[in-house]
Amino acid sequence: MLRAAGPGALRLVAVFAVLAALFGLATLAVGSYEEHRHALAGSLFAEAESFVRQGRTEEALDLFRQAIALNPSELDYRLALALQLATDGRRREAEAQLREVLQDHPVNAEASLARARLAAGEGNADVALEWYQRAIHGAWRGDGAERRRQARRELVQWLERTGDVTRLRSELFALESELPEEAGAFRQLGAWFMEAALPTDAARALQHAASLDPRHPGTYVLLGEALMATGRYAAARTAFRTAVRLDPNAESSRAGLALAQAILALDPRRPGLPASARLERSQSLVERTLDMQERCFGDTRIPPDVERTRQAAEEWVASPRPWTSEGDITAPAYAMARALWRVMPAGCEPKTTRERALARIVTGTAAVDDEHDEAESRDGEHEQAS
Amino acid sequence: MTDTQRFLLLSILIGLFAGLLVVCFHVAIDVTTWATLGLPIGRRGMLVTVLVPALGALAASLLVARVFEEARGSGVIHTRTAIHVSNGHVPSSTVFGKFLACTLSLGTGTPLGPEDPALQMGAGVASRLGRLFGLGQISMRQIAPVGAAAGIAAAFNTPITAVLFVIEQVLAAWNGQVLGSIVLAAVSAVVVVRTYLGNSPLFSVPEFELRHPSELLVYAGVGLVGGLLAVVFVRAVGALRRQAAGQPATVLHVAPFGVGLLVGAVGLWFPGVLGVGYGTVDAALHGAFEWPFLLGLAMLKVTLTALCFAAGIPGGMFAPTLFTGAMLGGGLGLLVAQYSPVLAGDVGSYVLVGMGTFFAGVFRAPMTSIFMVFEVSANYVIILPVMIANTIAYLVSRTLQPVSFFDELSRLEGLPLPSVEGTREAAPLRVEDAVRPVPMPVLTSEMTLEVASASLDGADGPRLVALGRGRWGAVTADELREATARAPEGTRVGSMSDLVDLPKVFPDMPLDAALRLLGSHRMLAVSSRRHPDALVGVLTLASVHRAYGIADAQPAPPPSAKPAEVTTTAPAELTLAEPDSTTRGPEPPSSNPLSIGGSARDAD
Repeated sequence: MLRAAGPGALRLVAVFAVLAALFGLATLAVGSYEEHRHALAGSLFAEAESFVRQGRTEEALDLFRQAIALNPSELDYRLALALQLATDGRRREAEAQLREVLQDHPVNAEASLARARLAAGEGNADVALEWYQRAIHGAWRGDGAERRRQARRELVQWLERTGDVTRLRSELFALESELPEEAGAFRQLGAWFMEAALPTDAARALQHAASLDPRHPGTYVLLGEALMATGRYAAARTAFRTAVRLDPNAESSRAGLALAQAILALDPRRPGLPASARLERSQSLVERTLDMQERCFGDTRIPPDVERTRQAAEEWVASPRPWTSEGDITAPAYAMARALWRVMPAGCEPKTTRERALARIVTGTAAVDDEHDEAESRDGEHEQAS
Repeated sequence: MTDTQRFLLLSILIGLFAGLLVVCFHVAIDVTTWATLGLPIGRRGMLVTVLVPALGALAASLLVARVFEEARGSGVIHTRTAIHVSNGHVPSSTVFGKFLACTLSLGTGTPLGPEDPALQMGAGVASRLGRLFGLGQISMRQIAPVGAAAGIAAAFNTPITAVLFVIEQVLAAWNGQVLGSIVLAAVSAVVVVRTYLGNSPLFSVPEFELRHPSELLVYAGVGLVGGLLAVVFVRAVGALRRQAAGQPATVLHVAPFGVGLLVGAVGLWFPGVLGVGYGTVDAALHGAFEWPFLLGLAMLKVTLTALCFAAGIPGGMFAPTLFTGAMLGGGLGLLVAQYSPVLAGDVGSYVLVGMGTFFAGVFRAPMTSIFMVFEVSANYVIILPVMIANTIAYLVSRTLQPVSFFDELSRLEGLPLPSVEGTREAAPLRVEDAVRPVPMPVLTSEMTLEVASASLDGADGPRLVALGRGRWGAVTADELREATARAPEGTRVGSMSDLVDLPKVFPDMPLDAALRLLGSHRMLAVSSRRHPDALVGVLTLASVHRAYGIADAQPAPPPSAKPAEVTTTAPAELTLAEPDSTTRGPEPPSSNPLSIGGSARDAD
C-alpha cells in the first residue's frame, strides 16, 4: 500500500518513523538522566549538610551551589544555601539567594525570617520588622505554631535590644495570646513586659507563671520587681518572701525582700497609717534625703542654691506645718525631698537598702492600697507552707 | 499543497528534529561529564582532572580531523556556506560528527559551548530533510538557516534570540519569505526542549531594580570594556588561527592535547572555568564571588577559549562569550561598588548586562544580544542597561575591529563568503538615485488628439499622459499621430486604445524593483507618494544604468538637474492643483500644456 502511494509518501513515513524513534530515544534518555540528576543533586546536598555539621563551611557552600546547579527548582537546596550564607555573614549572596527563593515562594517563612535577620544585622529596622512579620504570618513547614512563636520571640528580643518600646509592646501582647501554658514562657514574657515598662502586664504574666510553677524562685523575684514598680509594695514583699523561702541563698531574693520591707517602713503615703506616723515618716523622708545628699557631696563645696534648698528643708523638718484635714503633710515632704533629689550631685547612687528605698519612694510610684493583696499573699504563703 | 505550505510544514519537522537532537546532546554532554570528570570536579583526583580534558580534546579533534571532516569549523560559517556556495547542502555526516565530537570535548571539560554545534546540527538536519523532500534550489538555500535557528533556539531555549541571530548573522537580511519558517522551526524546537527539560530559563536571576539613573554610567563603562575586550579576543583568535594554520600536521594533532592539559591544570584550581560554565555564572549572578576572582575568571576563560578554538578543538563560542562577559560585568560592577557605593547597583545586574556586552562585541549582533539577555534571564527590568551597554560594546567593536569575527573565520577557512555586515548594511539603490527630469511635455487625458499631436513638435519617443488620481499612462508619438489621423476631431487622448497604463513608481522604491518594470515599459513615471498627481520625474533604462555606474553613450546629467520630490509646491513649470480630492486631477484642455525643466530632452 505504501509502495502504491508513491515515493513521496514513503519518504514521509520514513521521516516520521525516524522522528518517532528519536522521540522514544529522547524520552528514555531524559527519563534516566533526570533520575540520575536528581539523585546526584540529592547526594551533593546531603554531603553539604554533613559538611555543615562538621564545620567545613566552604566545602559545604560549594556543594550546595553544585546541587542547585543540578536541580535549580529544588527549594530546599537554595534555602539551605541561603541560610548557611546568612549564618556565615555573607550578606550579599545570602540576600540574593533569599530574594530568589521568595520570588518563587513568596510566603516561605524560613526565607522571610532569614531576610529579617539580615536586615536586623544591617540595622535596617523597618525592613527587618516587615520580614519578621512575614515570617510570623508566613507558611512554615512542620510545627507551624511553634515556629511562629519562636519567630515572634526572636522579634521581641530584637526589639528589646534595639529599644523600640512601642513596637515591643504591641508584639508582646500578640505573643501573650500565642504562648503555650509553660511557666518559663510566661516568666520570659513577664521580663519582656518589664523591659517595655509595662509592670502591670508583667505582674499579670508572672503571676500566671507562678501559678503554673509555684516553686520557681526566679518567678517571684521578677514578680516582686513588677509589683514594686506598680506601687504594690506589700504584695511585692510577699513575693520576695516566697522567693527567699524557695531559695534562701539567692542574693536577689533577699535584696528584693529587704528593699520591699524598707520601702514599707519608710513610705509616708502607705495606706492605713495614722496621722502621727505619717508626719514622722514625712520628716524622716526629708531628713534621710538630706543625709544622703550630704554624704554624696562629702567634702565638696555645696553650691549656694543647693544650700538654700537644704536650709528650707531643714527648717521644715525642724518645724513642720501642722497637718489639717484639708492638707496632706506628706505633700510638702515629698516636694522637699524631690527638690533635694533634683540637686543631688552627679553620680550620686544609693548605697544602702534604706537609700535605695528612699530613692524608690522619692522618685518612684506612690504606694497603692495593696492591703488586700498582702492578705491574699499571706494566705497563699500559708497554703504553700502547709 | 503549495511549495510555501510544504516549506512551512517542513520547518515544523525540522524544529522537532533539532529539538530532539539538542535534548539528546544536552543529556550526552552531562552524562559524559559525570562519567569522566565526576561531580564535584576534582573529586576523582588531580590526574583525572588534568588528563580527562586533554584526552577528550584530543579524541574530539581527531574525530573531526580524520572521520567527520565536514563537521570541522563554525556552524555559522557552515550554514552561510550552504546558502552562498553549496546550494543549501550541509552534509549529514556533520550532524553525527558534531554530536559525537562536541559531546567528547564539552563533556570532558573543554571550555567551549554547545550552541554553535547545535546550530550546525540543526542546519544539517534541515538540509537532509530538504534533499529528502526534493526542494528546489531556491528553497534549498533557504532551508539551512531554518535548521540553524531551530538548533540555537533549542540549545539556548530562546526562540526570539535564535530568529534574530539567524537574521543578523546568517542571512544578514530580513527575508520575509523565510522568516515565517524560521520562526516555526525555532518555536517547534523550543517546545520539544521545554517538554523534556522544563520551562525554566537558562539562568535563574534574583529580583533587582535600577535604583538610580547614575548606575547607567557604570553599565556604559561595562559596555566600553566589554567592547575593548571583544576586539582583543577577536584579534587574538585570528592571530592564533593564522599561526596554527602554518604549523605542520603533527603539531596540529598534538595541540588539542596540549591545550587540554592546560585546561585541566587550570581546572584544578578553578573548576568553574571548565565546560560550559553556566553553574559558575549562576553563582556569580547571586553574588558568590568577589571582583578580583570574577575578573580573573573572565581572563582565564577568554584565554582558554581562544586557545581551544585555535587548536581546533570542536565546540562553540556562544557560551564562553556569555561566561566571559558575565564575569567581566560582575567584576567591574563590584569594583565600582567598592569605591563608589552610590553609583553601583546589584552585582546580579552587572553579571547579566556583562553577559550581553561581550557577546555583542564579539559577534556584532546587537539586537540578538539584547534579546538574548532578556530571554535567558526572563528579566525585563534589565533591558535598559542592556541596550546601553550592548550598543556601546557593538560600536566600540565596529570602530576598532573592521572585520567581524565570522568574516575573519570565513577568510581563515578560505571561504569566499560575502561579508555579513556588508550585506546587512549595504544601502540599496533607490528610484530617486536614477530618476531624471521629464524630457518632454506631459499630456493629459482630457486633451484632444489634435492639441496633443501639435505639442509633439516633430519629436518622437514616448509621451507621458496624466490620467488623474495618481495614474500615469504612456503613448508613443507615432501612436498619437496615427490616432489623430484616424479618430474623429475632438477625440480625447484618454480614449486612445494604445494608451498604456504605467505601474506606480515612487522615489523611495528599490531601484531593483523598478528595473524589473522597465522590462515591459520604455519609460516609467515617478510620482510623489504624498501628491500622487505630482510628477517627480521619469525612469528609463539608461538612467538606471547610470545609477548603477554602467557607462553610457550619453553623459550623465549633472546632479543639480535631479529634481527633488514635489512636496509643498509644484515645480515652476508643473501647474497642479493643491492636494485636495476635489481638485486633484488632470488639467482641463484649455490650460497650458504641462512642461517641466524648461526644455524638451530626449527620454533616452
